Amino acid sequence: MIHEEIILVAEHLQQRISPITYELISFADEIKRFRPGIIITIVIIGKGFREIAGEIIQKSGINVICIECENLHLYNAEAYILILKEFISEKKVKYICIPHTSTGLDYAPGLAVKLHASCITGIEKCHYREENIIFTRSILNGKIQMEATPTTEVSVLTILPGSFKAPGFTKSFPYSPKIVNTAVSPCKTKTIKILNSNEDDPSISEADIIVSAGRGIGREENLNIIYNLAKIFPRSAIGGSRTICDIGWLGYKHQIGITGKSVAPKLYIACGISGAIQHVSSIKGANIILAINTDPQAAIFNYSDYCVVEDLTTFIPILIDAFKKKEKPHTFSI
Amino acid sequence: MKILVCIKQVPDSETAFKINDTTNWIQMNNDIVFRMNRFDEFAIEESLRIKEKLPDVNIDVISVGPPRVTSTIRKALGMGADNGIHILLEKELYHSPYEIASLIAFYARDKNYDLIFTGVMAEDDMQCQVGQLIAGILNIPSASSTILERINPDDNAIYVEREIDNGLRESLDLLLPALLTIQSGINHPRYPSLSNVLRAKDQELITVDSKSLPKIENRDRLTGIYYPQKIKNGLFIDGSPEEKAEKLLEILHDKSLI
Repeated sequence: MIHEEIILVAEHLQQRISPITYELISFADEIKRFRPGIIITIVIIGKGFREIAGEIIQKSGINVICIECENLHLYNAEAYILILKEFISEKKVKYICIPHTSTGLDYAPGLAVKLHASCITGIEKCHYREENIIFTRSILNGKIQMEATPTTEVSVLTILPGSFKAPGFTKSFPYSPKIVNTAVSPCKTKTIKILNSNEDDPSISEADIIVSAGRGIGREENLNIIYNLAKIFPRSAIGGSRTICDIGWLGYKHQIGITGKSVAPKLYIACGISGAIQHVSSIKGANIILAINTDPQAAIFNYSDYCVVEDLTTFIPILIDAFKKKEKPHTFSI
Repeated sequence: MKILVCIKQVPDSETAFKINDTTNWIQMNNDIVFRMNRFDEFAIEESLRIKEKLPDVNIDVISVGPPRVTSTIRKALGMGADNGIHILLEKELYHSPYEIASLIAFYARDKNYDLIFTGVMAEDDMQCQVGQLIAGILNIPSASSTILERINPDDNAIYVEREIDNGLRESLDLLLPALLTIQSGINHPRYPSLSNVLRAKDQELITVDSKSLPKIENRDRLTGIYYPQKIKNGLFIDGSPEEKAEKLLEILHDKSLI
């Protein structure tokens, strides 16, 4: 009897396995709760991963298959789709799980087309109801969530980073990875190389407190308010949403989100940030989140420890004034 | 060269959304302001820049949706696109990416487009799928999150840099015809010009009834929508702005953050 399988496609960049790959394991474990017989398999496409595959098996006990392809040195959507299609053709695959990242999203929908599969992206939760596994994802800037369930035999799923916590591994398993050799030649696309684009600034990753600006700041001049707020905190840094960086008000080194940086400061102050899922998934490591926003329905408030419904352009100056009065009480008595 | 730009009209994200009675979509009431998906503005701008650089470029914009989407198609014409195509849907309800992608793909398949652009995602349903699905259905190569493209006259390929994680880019060549999903920040989208807006006002759109096109049936089923559960049960600080500031400083002080 052929068992149903979940395939987890590992993501790697510059020969390192991305942490989201481990989060896929937790997601698959959730599915397994609803479908106990299902087999989990991790697939790593690329060369030079045998050792790391061995480590993943040792830690997780999950079967890892390295698919090595002679002429594939870099990620290529066309090749990934051909390889995965061939790999699963003999199997009874139910779910193919892919990270919800720039690379994952590059090939997931195309793979679904070729497999006549459904494609559900940005999955944050799953649950079981009336014999269906139902997936939850955010829409409308995180103000609403939708639930969907596949109506096809096979489904391609992309899993939102930060939604399923990577498992803590305790046991040790003595298996070794399986190596599969394949030869595909993409004919319509050629990946050339990886380029470094952004100037890096470690100050955001190292800061205790991040004051972050979103579209709600309204005008570029209002960035001064954000800078002034950051000044009252020691070890602070300035962050921004993608929109602010796209307009050019802040450099991309300040961008926080799926396509920017993930941060885990002691305090994250979200100023005029709506709370789109691409941003929020990258600040979940923050100890305390404080949000200032005029829109009481803004999704950011669902993730915040402290919520202030105010216009930041008037409220933050009041906050800074109040702080300065407290800081130097004696200057008034002299 | 023929370019097709796929655009979407979305409700403004500042809207206070309410769920409809059958909990299968949001209430479409008069409070909702519709506008062009911001990511699609970057896609249109990128196509206009190719038109300015290369000879004989024709830009079609296409949008699938109910009658209201024609205003967004006209905005695209106002920015400088040549023709507007409206694939008319009757209902305001949720439409899956497969449904939308297959309608566009079946419309486009015999029109000989050299390039198809979409925004990297739609702001409303945030699927990031339609572009890549169209490419899959038409069996043409695609690149997502395009942050730079370069094409020369008479080239049969396009050079693309796409954004990947950690501030890195990946460069690739794609044979034409190809589909690119355009990342925000690739350019600064222009505003509609007066002369184009005047031209667009009277220009006839090509309207195609969605029922006249083949489409791929939905492969997933929407089982409901709801308001998100709070991940954290945050404290809403109340009072006048001054009182809120005082309370906040006290909290930050107690946590040794200030």
